[in-house]
Amino acid sequence: MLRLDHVAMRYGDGPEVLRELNLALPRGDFMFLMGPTGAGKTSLLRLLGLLQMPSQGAFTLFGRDVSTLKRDDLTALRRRIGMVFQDVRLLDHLSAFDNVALPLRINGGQDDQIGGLVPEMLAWLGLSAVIDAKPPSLSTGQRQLIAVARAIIARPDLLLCDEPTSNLDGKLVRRLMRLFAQLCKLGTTVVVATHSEDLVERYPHPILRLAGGRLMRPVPAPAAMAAAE
Amino acid sequence: MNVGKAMRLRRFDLPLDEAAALTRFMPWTIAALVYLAVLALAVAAVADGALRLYSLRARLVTVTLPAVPDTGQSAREIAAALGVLHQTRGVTSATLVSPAELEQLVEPWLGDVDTSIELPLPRLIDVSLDPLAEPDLPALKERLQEVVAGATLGIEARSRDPAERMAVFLRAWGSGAGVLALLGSLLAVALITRVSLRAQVQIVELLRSMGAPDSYLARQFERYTLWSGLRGGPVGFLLAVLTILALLYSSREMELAGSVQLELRPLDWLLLACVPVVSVLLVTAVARMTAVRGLAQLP
Repeated sequence: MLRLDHVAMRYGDGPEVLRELNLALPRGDFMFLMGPTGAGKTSLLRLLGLLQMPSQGAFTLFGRDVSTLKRDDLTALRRRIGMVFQDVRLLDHLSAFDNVALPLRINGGQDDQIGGLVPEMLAWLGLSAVIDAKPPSLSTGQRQLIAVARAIIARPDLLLCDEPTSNLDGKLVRRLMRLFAQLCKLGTTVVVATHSEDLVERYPHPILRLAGGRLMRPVPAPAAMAAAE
Repeated sequence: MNVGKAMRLRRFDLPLDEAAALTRFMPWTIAALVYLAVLALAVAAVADGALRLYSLRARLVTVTLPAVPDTGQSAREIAAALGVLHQTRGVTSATLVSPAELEQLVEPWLGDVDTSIELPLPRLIDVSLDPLAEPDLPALKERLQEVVAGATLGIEARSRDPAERMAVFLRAWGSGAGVLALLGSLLAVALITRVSLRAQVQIVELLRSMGAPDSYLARQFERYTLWSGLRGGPVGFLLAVLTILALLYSSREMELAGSVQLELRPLDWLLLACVPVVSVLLVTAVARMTAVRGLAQLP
């Protein structure tokens, strides 16, 4: 579903922030992405989310060679991707409902469909009480959950999350990870960038490690290894 | 949970009408520029109406026949000149100035003298012309000189009085200022759209990450500008109408226009009412074009 062959990436005319990336993610896979600050985690997520183009190498997504795609084709592919940004990026002038409904509206969803799906999603995340509230009046955790809800509401084929659990308590983290696991079962490929050693130790998913813009070989998580043993 | 209410809260995906956004000034910018455009074009229309009234006034010319001592010859020349004048298209009347009137005319300069004996005076014929018939005055002069050697044609009403000159100036100024105000509104909207787009690069990227095409994003600016225009345009027009009515009323009270009444015809009002409509359509189109161009330049 997703394949990188000798991919490099740079911002504008700057130096390469990612280099010699080789990666293949099948459909329904779950990966953690780890690395120190500045290793290139966010850049890799931006690349996979088609917000940046590779400066070198071949990037194939959903069976399409990204470097040959036209603007409209890229737009169509982006609709199959859900992204949770590290800085959340909720629109402060919109209610929680409208923030979550954005991808559906952009995809041309009808009001009755949106009116059914969005409250259901918010209820599942325990956010029914704040459906009309605007982000500035919400807690950091609630904002984080709304960002996640927005990323998954359109049932993406690829979900890219940049530190999605950083502001959540243990209960909500478990709930979110369970949600991601369910999405994987439905065929969504999930990549979660995180700093949390605790998180990757608790959930048995492979880990991609980035260092200096280079990707290390995927390794099984400690918990998975322990379980295997 | 009131989903209907939640859905009604949304107006635009981009925060275009928020306190921090430059675009929130758009309705007032459009209102101000529509106000100025309508006012300036109304001045031009009033001035044009006044000039139309000036041009409808009968124009007067005076035919002067040189003095001749022979009364018989004088009568023949007068008859010939009157004959030519009456046959000329556009001449509504031609009247010989009587010797008594002529003596009154020269009395301030010559005093009370017997002009028939002491001083031969030229003969004058007052001629009224229909301006709509557009009489050919040089040709008339030539024909008069064919029948009376030395006949001249004095055009009395050719020079414009100060009010008429002012009306000419105001018509030109009003038209120019009106067009400039309209162009100004287009430029202002283009500038606001451009600056606003640059200020919202992150949100644009967010919406693009969800698969929003540029046409979707440009439509946000287009819809917002239309919405701003529909709010600002009528406000500007209404204020301009009130100002115009007040000015017309004041001008009548003060008799600023002298003998020419300042007013706007129904057609003028209709054309002025088109200004906000045309402005809103134009600024909406300009906002969309600017947004499309700006988005294409973003990475």
